[in-house]
Amino acid sequence: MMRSFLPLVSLKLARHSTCGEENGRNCPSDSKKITPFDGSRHSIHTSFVGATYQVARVLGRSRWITALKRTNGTVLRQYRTSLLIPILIFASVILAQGDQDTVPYIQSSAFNAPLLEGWNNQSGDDFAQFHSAEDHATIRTALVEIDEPVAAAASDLRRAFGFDLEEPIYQDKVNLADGTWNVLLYEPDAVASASVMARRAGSQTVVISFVESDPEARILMLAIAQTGDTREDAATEIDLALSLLASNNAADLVETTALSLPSGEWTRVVGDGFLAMGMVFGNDSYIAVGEGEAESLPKLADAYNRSVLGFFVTPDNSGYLALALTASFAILALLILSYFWRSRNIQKDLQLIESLNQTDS
Amino acid sequence: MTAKTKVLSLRQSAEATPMPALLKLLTIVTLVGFCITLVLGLLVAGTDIQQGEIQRIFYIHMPSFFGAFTAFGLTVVGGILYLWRKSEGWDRIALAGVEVGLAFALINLVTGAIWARPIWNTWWTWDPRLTSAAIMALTYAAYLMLRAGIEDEARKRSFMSVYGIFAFTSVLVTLFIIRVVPETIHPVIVGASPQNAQGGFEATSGVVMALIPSLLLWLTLMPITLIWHRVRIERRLEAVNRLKMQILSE
Repeated sequence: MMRSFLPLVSLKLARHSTCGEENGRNCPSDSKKITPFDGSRHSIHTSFVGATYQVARVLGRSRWITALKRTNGTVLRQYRTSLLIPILIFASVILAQGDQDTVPYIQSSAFNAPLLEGWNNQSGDDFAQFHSAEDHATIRTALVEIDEPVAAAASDLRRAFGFDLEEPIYQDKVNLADGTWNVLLYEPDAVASASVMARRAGSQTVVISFVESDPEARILMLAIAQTGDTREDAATEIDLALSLLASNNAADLVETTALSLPSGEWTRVVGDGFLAMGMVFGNDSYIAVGEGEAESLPKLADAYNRSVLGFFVTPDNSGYLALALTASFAILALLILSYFWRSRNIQKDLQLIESLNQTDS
Repeated sequence: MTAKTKVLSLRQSAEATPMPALLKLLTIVTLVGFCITLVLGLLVAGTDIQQGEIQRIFYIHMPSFFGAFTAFGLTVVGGILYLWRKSEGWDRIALAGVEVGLAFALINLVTGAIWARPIWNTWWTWDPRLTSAAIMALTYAAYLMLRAGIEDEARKRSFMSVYGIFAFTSVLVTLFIIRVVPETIHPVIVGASPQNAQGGFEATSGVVMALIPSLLLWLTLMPITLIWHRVRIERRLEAVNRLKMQILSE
């Protein structure tokens, strides 16, 4: 009996048709006979099912099962469903390993940075870096072993791009949801510019930098804290940013349009010799300014701000997981131990009654 | 039946009987399944990059509620059938269902509170789902206290059967409250989360593959196996108590 149903279990699991040698049914002439060992069509599933089938056959011949088979035939029939559950669980392990979803993030040991599609991914184990040769631009996220943000930013730019930096041309701070960030703009040479956001993370510093070296354009990105009057109005924020950079002023704005990008809703401003973009998000505004041939500004602004806004650190809360597991096991253990205690007490009561009976008689 | 025969019969009922082969198998399969689901949840499933490792408690937190659901559901079945057939066996199932269900409900509450600390920044909040889950656990704790307080056996069984049936409304309220009350921060994994939900995550294939075996185990094997063991103990316990009463009355 055992041998008769075990192949059936394996076959059910593989979702094979009932057509096959195992159950003695005839197949239509155009159908393929499938056995659990047919590795040609179902690679991983078939190897698993084949192994399960072998295990089931060995189990079917084991002394334990044979003894059980002799004692209670009806029980064995009921086993079918019970046996299916661990088999399904094993199947899930295999399927789960082969079917993990890909998260669109670069996951380093210390942080997560959004994966920028269409960019050349040059990321390493402890930093995320994307390069666009077409735009002469690089976006980099790194954790630097220096606890002072300005020094850390300079150090990372020096290490990654070989810049010999002097004082930043612009420096300020903004408060975002995950802390206070230093906003720094550098122009290390006549061609390159670097826009950096840096914040402390324990004894280290997170540095997110945008570096462009296009000889035909000058592109800068910055975040500025909103004032009460300027909230919800990106054009005014752009004007403010331009005045901070001291390269242009409000009189230069000639055309304002709205632009919807993956990073958010932007306002695009075309001025005399420059292009600027602004996005109001939370209590801060994100501005991108391009001079010269800066047609790629929307793409670059979107990518950099996705990196800034999408950056996060996975919290280390494994201690809480250990606590929750301990509590769960403790409750289950108490329940099961109470069964043993109660059984033992029943046995003690019976022995007491027995001894009382013997005393009476 | 003479007094002596009755005593002998009761003594036989109180003695430990060999475990049925099916129960043995269920116990082994449950233990193996429990270990496998732990491996799936703790090692095979990927880490949630936003919540961190604590998200893995979800593979116990949610299934434990559904385990409680099965156990309390068996209490309803036991209660209805006891009231109909007046067979003590059904009452034993109802009682065992409450004990096992309460343990599972406690696991659900405790794991939820521990998850909430790093994710919601608080151990507890009077959110509709949390409040209804706490009321559910207290309702079934009250079942055990009330049961212990009623002397008359027949009245106790009838009263607790009715109580067990009505107490199940607290389980249904807990199950559905996040679908009908929008002012909750408790996330929903299947379907759209409420507007204020905090700490939700996507049911990716990795999550589903680790969750389904765990859900199956906690929903079926764990409550059934534990309830079966508990029913066997209760039967012996009742026989011992009757034996004591019989000897005292002689």
